[in-house]
Amino acid sequence: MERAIIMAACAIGAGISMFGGIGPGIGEGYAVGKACEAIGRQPETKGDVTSTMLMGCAVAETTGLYSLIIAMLLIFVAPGLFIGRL
Amino acid sequence: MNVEITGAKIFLRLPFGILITETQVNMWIIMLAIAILCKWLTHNLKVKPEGKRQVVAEYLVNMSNKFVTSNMGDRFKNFSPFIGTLFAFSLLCSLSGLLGMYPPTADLNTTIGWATVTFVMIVYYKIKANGLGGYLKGFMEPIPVLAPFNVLGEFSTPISMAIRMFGNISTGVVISTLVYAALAWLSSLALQWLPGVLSGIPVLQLGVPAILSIYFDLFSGALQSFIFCMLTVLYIAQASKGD
Amino acid sequence: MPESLEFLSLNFWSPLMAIGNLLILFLIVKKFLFKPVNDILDKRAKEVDSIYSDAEDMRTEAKMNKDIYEEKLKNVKAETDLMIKSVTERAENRKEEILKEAAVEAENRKIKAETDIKLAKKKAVDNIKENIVDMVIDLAQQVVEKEIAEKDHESLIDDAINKLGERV
Repeated sequence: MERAIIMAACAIGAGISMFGGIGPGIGEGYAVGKACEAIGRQPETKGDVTSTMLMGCAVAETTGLYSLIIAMLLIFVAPGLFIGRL
Repeated sequence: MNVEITGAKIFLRLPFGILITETQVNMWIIMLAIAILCKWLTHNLKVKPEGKRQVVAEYLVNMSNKFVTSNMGDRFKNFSPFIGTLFAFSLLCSLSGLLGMYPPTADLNTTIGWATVTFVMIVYYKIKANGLGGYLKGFMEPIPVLAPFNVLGEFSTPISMAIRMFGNISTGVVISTLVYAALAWLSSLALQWLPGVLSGIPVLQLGVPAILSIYFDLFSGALQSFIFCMLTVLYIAQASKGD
Repeated sequence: MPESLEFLSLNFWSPLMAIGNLLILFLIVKKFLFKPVNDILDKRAKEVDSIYSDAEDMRTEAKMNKDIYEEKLKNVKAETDLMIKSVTERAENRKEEILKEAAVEAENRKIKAETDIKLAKKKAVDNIKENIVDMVIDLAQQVVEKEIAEKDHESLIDDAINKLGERV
């Protein structure tokens, strides 16, 4: 019973932590939209704009990846840790 | 249905807790491949290029030199081999997932190691530019109370780099594992009516995961390798400028 | 089935091995790919440079030759100019000399002609005088022969002499 509760709590926590994925999604979408605008305005700078955009997207993704790591920790590491304590 | 998502397989346990895992073995395989490729590409160089091999070798070297010098300036031309190595290694590590190997970059240990190298370089260049006192004083700005946060911020650079690489590649591994399992379950459901062993053949696993593989292994792998190198280059160039 | 690591796990040695692998690969790639290719690229750049400098040398040499020839040509022109000038000067001098000579000769001839004319005139006057004398003698003879009146003689002789005097 306690095992099941711990597993369930960890799974729910992982799911909640992935709300953090919303932020990078919005941010990256905004960045890509702006990049498209920039390319539309100056098509000759497409290469530079694209590489800068990918760079920015990767950096903006960091928070999402932190939440992903938290989710992974909750799924893969936390249950073993807590169940071992029982 | 039982899905196990695990890390690299452990092949050998050596004393002092040294583990020889699938990550290490795959890395050695990739290193061997790169070494053979280098030797083969530069086998018979001429001042006037004959054949495509030399053209490819020169193209790779030139691309690396250009990447480094355009982002860091001519002063860091010596960095070109390191950045090139980092890019080739991480790219091939990520792409090894296409061959069904466990990608070494999906192991946090690997990416932490590489990020540590970058971190050491960044710190070295910061100390070289500002002096040890200047480097330590940099933590006290704007007010000494913020020192713990500055230290945290300093360490967040390599950690975020490591986690970025690991997160992107390992997500691919996790999702493709889950998809494989789901497809196996689906195909066993669809082929229930067949007798005996035939129902266990995971027919649906044949083509569908390839699409995922193209995104997670090819696109994500290449992009993350590029970004890892780009960030390394930019951080080092910024650190060497001083304040 | 061999045992595996946890999906998310860290240990001390694996990152160190990753670093070691990266550094070893770095040395390999540097030695076997970058060094030879950079050497070749340097060599090619040097060759291209040498070709360029050779071309540059040849160009400067050609330019130098051209300059020399141009100078020579200029000298030749100056020389010919000088020659033409001296020749024309000489010709001019000669012309003046000839003209002067001609003028002198003309003057001489003129003087000679004048003396000739004077002489001729004198001669003619002498002749006329002789003729007059002859005529006078003739007249005297006629006068003597016809024996005309004294009054007539006088008027005749005066007339004749007057006429002659007017004519001369």
